[in-house]
Amino acid sequence: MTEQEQSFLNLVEQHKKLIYKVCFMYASDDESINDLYQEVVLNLWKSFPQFRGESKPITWIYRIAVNTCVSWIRMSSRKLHTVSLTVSMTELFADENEKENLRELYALINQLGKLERALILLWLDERSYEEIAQILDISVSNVGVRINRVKTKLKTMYNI
Amino acid sequence: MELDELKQKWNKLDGRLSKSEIYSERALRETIKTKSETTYDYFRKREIMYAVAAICIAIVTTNLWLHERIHDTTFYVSTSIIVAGLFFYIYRYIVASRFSVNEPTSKQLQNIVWFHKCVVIEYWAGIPIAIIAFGTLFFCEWHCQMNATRWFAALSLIPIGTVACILMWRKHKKAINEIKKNLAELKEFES
Repeated sequence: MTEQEQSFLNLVEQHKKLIYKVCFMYASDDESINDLYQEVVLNLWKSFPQFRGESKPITWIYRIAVNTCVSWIRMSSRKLHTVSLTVSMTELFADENEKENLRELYALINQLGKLERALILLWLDERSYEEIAQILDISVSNVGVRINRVKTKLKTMYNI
Repeated sequence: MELDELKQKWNKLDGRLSKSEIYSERALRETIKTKSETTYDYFRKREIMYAVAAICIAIVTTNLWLHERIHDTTFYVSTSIIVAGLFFYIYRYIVASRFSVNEPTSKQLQNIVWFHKCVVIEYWAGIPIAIIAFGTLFFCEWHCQMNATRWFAALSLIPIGTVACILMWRKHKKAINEIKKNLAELKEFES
């Protein structure tokens, strides 16, 4: 294994939870999360040689992962060799109550737009406004305005 | 459910993920070793394949015309369609080449809107072109020497074409809806 491969694997290993959460926001079932996870890993791998450390690795990973998920078009006709995720949603939440919670979470997320999902994901992950601005390439003041809009939208959705 | 509750649920997921392996190092290594083509690479490769196929059909058609195996009208119509198709594939290749995961998210979404527009154009232009191509072939090449087999072939193409159109329409309807959603979101995001 090359040095580049090893440092990439270490980086993904450190941030695999982050990648999973981004995929979770955009996919609706285990199979989609698995496909999306691999697509993100592959895009990260392809972009890795261009990563010069100008931004924090976490910012770079978020950007690539969000961009991959935003533009992800599932190619149902494409038969790819897939490598399965070690964990499935069912294994993650064995308890029925927790599964119900997860379903509710999904139902809410599914009503949001692609960019709104990215914003709420970063807010839920407690990223600073500066980081969110860097990841989504918008101004810091804009981040505040947009997050408030999404929060209002979510509150309205709860009340319906 | 309030926002705090949403955050609690999210944190619960986060906690569970911290305790799980998610993706083993072996699986990660396998992914980067065995899969070398991203969805974008696939799109770009597909457009090149279509363009090559169009060039091959153009060569065959020209050859047939030079050997007087097909009528002039068939040649002119088919060549025009192939050239138009070739330009379209080149354009779609350019659009697909603009995809980059390193770009800002809104730019990424804009590229998706463009790509989907191409898909929709393909559908709206594809049906009349297919009808023109079939009509030309039918009237120029077959109408003088129609026999039962050719009539059967010609007639059986009608239901096949109709089913293909319905399936394509259903597929493209989803694409159109996604374009509308993406555009609305982009406008909202930029406002």
